[in-house]
Amino acid sequence: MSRWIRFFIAILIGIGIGLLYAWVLNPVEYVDTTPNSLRGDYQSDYVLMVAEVYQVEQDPTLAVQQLAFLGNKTPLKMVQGAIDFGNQEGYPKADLAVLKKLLQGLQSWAPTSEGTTP
Amino acid sequence: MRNKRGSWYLLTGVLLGITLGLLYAWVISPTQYRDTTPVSLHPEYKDIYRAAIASSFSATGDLKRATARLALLHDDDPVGVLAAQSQRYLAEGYSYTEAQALANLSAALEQSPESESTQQIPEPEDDPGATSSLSPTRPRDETLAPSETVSTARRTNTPQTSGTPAITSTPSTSPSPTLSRTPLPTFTPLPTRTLTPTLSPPFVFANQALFCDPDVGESQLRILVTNSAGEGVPGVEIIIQWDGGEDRFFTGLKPEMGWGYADYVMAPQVDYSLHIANGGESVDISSPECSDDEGERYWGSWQLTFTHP
Repeated sequence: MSRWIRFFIAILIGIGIGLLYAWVLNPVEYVDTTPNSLRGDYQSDYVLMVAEVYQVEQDPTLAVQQLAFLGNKTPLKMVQGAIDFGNQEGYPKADLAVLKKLLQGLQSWAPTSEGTTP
Repeated sequence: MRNKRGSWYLLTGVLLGITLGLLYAWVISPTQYRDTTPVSLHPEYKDIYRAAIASSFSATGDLKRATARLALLHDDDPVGVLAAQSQRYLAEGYSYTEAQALANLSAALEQSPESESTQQIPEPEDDPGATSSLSPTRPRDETLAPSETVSTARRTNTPQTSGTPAITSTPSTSPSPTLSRTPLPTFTPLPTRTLTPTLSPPFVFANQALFCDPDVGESQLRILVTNSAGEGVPGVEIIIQWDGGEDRFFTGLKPEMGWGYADYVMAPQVDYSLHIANGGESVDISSPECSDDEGERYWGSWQLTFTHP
């Protein structure tokens, strides 16, 4: 086997060792992540929490501020996404109703408060 | 000549390969944060998440659901963490309503028979048998999805599929500007918020004890709030009023003194009226006078105990 072939085999072995170290032996630990990286079901549950508060407070501004926690998607998209997820995963009807009320509230609120949407 | 070179070139190749491997894994194709769980959130975001849980609990009174949601954060001592966050929010000028919600949830958990008095909320159980059928994007050390743990029986236990397109998270390694902790107006006072129906009956005034210790150097009002089993209850709001002023504080700020402990420094020769926020009788009090062995007078302290009947 020529010297060059053995050299490249050594490189491949080294790459393998590097990847093994970076992905298996010392993998990245998820710490200090941001809310927009939360998995979809957790985001949906957070939206549900906001909707539960909205049901009592009836304050769309507060709801929008709370939804900003999840990132820079529009509140309407977040709530619609949570409803879609809830339908898909079989959320109780009561929860879906709460989410829909929030959606309706935001739909009627958004046109007059466009500037403050995160 | 060739023999003198030996096999160093192989080591060179391996080192070069390792470098390339790490370069690929850490720079060219670095890990992207997505599909994470609440436990991995930055502490500040955890605070917001926790506050949302508390606000939701205040709105619904659903302690079971709040407990399940809190378990996602893997706090060692959820009752204490909630009480401490409540105190911190008050100290840092956050919404009083939000601090109240946190304190209420802390107290409700403390008093809940399901919470085993001190504090350990069982974490959602992983289902080892289900791991093979989980979504490939699901992190290995993950808790179950809210739809599996938080929900009522009508939700399914099937592993989640990937999020809906409308809500799919965008990988990002830097916090969004809208997530900053500084914009306090995010948490505006909500005067219409109602108290949770799960609160326990009002605490009653049990006893009052005088403490004379010249080394204390100030006149303290020490409050102990316990449940019917005699265990300290954190997060209980106490309102103290005097002529022309009012202040509020919570139990649990000094866990080393017990979860039901709170104290307040009284000004001498001022008459105070004190009561637990969620009802209960009012107690009138003022700084007591003590004297040492030589007859020298100094201001003493009171300890008041409130408990559930």
